[in-house]
Amino acid sequence: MLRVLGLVDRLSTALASLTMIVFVGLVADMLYEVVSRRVFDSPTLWAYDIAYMSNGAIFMIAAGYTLLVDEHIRIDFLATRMRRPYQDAANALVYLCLLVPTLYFACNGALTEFWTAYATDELEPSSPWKPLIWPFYAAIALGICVFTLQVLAQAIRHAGAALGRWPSPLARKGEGM
Amino acid sequence: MVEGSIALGMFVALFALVFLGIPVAVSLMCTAFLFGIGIFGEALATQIHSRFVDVSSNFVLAAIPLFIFMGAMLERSGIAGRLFEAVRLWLGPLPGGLSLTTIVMCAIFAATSGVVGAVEIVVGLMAVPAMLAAGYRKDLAAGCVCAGGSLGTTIPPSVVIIVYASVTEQSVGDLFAGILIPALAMVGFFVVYILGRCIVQPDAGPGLTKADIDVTLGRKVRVALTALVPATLLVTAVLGSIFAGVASPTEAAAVGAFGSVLLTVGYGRFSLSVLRGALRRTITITSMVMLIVVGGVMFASVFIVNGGDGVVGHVVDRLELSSAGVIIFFLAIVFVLGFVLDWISVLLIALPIFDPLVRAAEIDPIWFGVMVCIALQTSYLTPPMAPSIFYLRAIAPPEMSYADMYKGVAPFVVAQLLTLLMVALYPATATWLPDVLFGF
Repeated sequence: MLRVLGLVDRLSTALASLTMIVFVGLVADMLYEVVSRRVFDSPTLWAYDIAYMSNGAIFMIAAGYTLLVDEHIRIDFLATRMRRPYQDAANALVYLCLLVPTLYFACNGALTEFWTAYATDELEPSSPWKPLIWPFYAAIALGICVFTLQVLAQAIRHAGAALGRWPSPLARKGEGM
Repeated sequence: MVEGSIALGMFVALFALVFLGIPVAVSLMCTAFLFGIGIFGEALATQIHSRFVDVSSNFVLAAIPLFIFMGAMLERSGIAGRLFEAVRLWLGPLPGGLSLTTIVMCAIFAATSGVVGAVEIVVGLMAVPAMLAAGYRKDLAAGCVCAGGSLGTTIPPSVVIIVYASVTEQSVGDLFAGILIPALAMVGFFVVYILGRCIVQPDAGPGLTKADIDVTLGRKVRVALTALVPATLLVTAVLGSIFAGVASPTEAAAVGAFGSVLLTVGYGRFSLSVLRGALRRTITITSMVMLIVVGGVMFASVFIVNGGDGVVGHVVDRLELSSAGVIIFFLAIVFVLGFVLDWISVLLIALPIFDPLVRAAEIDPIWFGVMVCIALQTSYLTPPMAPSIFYLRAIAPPEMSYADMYKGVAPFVVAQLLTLLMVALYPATATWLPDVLFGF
């Protein structure tokens, strides 16, 4: 079981590394636009779209990794007064009973919208550049799906920890990459 | 009435999840799901997806990873140590010199970085031991580190303001300009308190002696140049280009991100592992912030569909509040919510409800926004549930007690409330600069 969960971790981590490259691209994209517009007086059509799409891709695709390293902020001043197994049980229950159904709808919506955009060659509606929108929807869908996988993995870990089988994922704050 | 109880139920569910220790973003999403599924049914999938897409497609929010990276890189550049040394050499001999150094340095650092919390830790690690070694009262040492750390909320570029602007569809530049004078006034109040107290009570924070800072004028100037000039250039490039209307905040943030790398290279601290560390921190904090934004947007839209905004409007009507009353009512809610929730959730829950009412009451949105940010900052500093104190606890030596910290932040909380009062009584302190810069 732990090996399967490890695979999910590796997928989230690998994709998080990818978002770092996307981030470097975001910086380059904006710098190019500034120089192009201010120095050469020729603004690009595409820099604006690339920027927001990069940001969307970065935070969605890194969401799973951020959950893995437990950096989605918790307000835990009350929760930490409960015994650790109870905290784990609470996390497992909420993830499985509420978050997974929420994300089921999110994945469903994201994959449907992606597929529709892809099948109909939908264009970005508000941009003068009018790029195809499906690559952006694909990134969002990928992010939501990987986040969902990581949520399942963490839920299983929390459940195992609540039963005293495995170490609690709450103990592994801020792990390196 | 039924509508009111559903809306109230959303808050009960949200707080139950949050206090169970569930990540805030997850709590928001789950509450929205729980109270949205009955209304939307199968259409919920499209609803949820469109919230993700809305937030992901927001160009203004793309400034967030860039400003976070800038801060993360500067933390690793060693500029904090240089700034501390440079400011210490000049301000150290004054009464309370090291506390003044801490505040001024935090202000400069906050102007180069949009992240709250990080500044306090970086500065605190240097300033607390230095002040305690110099015989400063523990409460003064604790207070000025917490207060200095809280400046990241208000001094632009601030991620708080970017989120504020995107939720209320205002211009980031206007809000940055609007909060600049109040933020500087606040730093001024801090300085007055430290100087005043250390003149009246010299042993609270003795100025450094000649022996402590036995350096030539040439060295003093050189240290100042290598530390202050690059920082000033960076601040000017980022804020200057926004205020001059040369670049959008997102573009300016990219310039700042690039500048922070150059500065780190210039200080000889750059390496691939440093870059990787800064990038890792950037993506996780960005993801944390943005997922709360998504959750908050989902929560607010379900709350509104359930008639929650009508309930709040109804309460405001029933109380027959004047516009001053509306402002005080809303600021009090922000302040109290800030005790139990992180600032992003506070903004995302409160603003979609308040903003239409604020506009309906013809309250200047910039003025109101500036006051909300100061209220949030004060809430960040006010014990017992003050994030600023939790950050300090993590890095303070054991002999510095919670009592020292509570006592220490109190005068700074007063200084912030004074700033808030100043802005409330003289709206021009917030609206004059944006008027001059961007004109309406």
